[in-house]
Amino acid sequence: MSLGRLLEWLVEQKRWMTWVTLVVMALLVLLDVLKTPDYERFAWDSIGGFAAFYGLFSCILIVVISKAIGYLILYRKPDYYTRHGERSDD
Amino acid sequence: MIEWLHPALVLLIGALPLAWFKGRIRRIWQVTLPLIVLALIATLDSGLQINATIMSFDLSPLRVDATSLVFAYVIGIVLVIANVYSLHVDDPAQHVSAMFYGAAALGVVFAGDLITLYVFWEIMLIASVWLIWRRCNAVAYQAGMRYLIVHGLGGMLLFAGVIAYYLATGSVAFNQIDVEGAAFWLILVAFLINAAVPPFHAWLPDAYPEATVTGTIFLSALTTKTAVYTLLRGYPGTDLLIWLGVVMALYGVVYAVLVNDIRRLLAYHIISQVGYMVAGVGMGTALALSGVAAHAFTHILYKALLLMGAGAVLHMTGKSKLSELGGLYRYMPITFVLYMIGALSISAFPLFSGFVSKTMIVEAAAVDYRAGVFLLLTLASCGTFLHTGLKLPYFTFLGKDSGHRPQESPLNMRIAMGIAALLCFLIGIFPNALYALLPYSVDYHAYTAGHLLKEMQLLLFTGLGFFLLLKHLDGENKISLDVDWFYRVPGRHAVVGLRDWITTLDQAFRTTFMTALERAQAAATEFRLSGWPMRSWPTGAMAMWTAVVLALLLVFGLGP
Repeated sequence: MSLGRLLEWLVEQKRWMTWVTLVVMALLVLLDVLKTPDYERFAWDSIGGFAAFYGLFSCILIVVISKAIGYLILYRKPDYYTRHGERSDD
Repeated sequence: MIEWLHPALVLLIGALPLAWFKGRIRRIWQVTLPLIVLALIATLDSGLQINATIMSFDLSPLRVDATSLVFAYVIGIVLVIANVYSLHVDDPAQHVSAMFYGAAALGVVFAGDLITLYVFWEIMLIASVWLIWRRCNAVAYQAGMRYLIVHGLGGMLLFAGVIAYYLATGSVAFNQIDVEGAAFWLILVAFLINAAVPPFHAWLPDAYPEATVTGTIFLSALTTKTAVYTLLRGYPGTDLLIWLGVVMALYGVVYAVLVNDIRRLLAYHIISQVGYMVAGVGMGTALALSGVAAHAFTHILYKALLLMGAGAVLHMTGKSKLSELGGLYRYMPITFVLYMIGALSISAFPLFSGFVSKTMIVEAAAVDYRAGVFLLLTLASCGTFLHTGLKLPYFTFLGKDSGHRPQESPLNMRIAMGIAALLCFLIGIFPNALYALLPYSVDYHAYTAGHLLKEMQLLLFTGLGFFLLLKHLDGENKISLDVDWFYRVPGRHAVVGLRDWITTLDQAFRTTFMTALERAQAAATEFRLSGWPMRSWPTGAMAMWTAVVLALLLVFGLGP
């Protein structure tokens, strides 16, 4: 159970770990802004921190669009197909 | 002599005793057999080709080159892992069909001609459906039946395509399908069905989550990846595939937001990941095609690992819905940590296997200045981390306490996951070992400062987005319709309607016929009872009829 204890301890350090991660994220962006870009293939290659912005933007975009599609069109109750004639396990 | 042994044949024959072996002998043979096959694959030299002529067709049932070998190796490895994972299962039908399925997948990747390919393609289907049916419940049976019908249709298209190809070219050799017209499209659509490319994909998230806990591991590894292999062989550089692949990569991501079942979520991420491979095949450059082979290799391993983790949760708790799970890390810590290695691999975290393969395909888009493809594939990769790396583990292993107090998963399951995790990690650290196997030698370096910086920003800020939106991301106890709706609801209603119409018509016809028959019977009875046929006849009439009969005899029978 020692691995379980270790994980529990890590979960207890949540607040502390969040701050460390946020500092690391800020440093990554700072480094990207200061560093000369490796590539000039696309317009955004030279924008420091573009990947960070794009990561956050992608995450929000995916969730918002998917949930919208879900609520507008796709979501049904779990017994939907049973009500349309399929057999269930019960 | 050894180079003549076809690994698929060894596996097919070797699988048969599993139907009778019991207990320890069964368990030993179940692991030894795929190990023997893996060793056999390792003895095959690139360039070996066995030809045979049957009924004027030039067949090559065994063609070994770098492309087939890289797929064969990973199939061999995953067969060992998945069999270790299913050691505790006491169901000969599952073990035999899993081995047959693996053998047929090897048969496909070693097939040098379309006829051999077709035969193994169908064996794959027939063997694999049992891994769904052996879940032994009504839902699995129906999902398996739909799986069988969709792939049966795909198999027919392939068969028609092979005939058309033979008529057009006079050859059945399986190389790039560079023929115009029906053959090109029939074979392409058959491959796309097995690769689960939308709109031909719905069988996958429909059937895989309903398969047995251990069967899903085989399913996830073999059908779609052999289809990627056949696309890689038959359709490299087909522009259409680039955009189909991009759509696929995003399609899986959108559904992964919506679904509640953890194995269904992972099934949608198979579609998403195969999307990268399909797009890579479409780009067709040496870097892209090598990226496809590399990504298929790493994907088989980390997806097996992820599904083994999800399967272990299902096996121990009996639950697979996010809305019913949570807080399991205290009780299944090893499963959790091993799952996370798979999650970091699929999310392309540096030091894990996905990073060294997925970035090859994305890089191939970048060096060709395909801005749209690059941005959309990157978007999909954020979605992958969001669901497989954050949402699924958070709401299954962390998050709210669901009240489940399961034991850690059985030892054989943990060993299988451990092997897969170790390989994911080793490939991530030593990518050159994988790159050495690839069909085209490429000068690609995953670990550059630029790549690392971009990838870490992308992933960590996706993580930030996840925690900002956390409230909205828990599983909802709903299902999400997919294109299988068309055959499960309107299609079903149409068939049932047609059946009812035919039944009504049939009954109406029978009723009419029976009424007429009864009437005739009544008339006959009445006729008999009336005494009319038995009445006395006048002598004159008798004499006349006798004369008529004699005259007829004279004319037809006794004349000169």
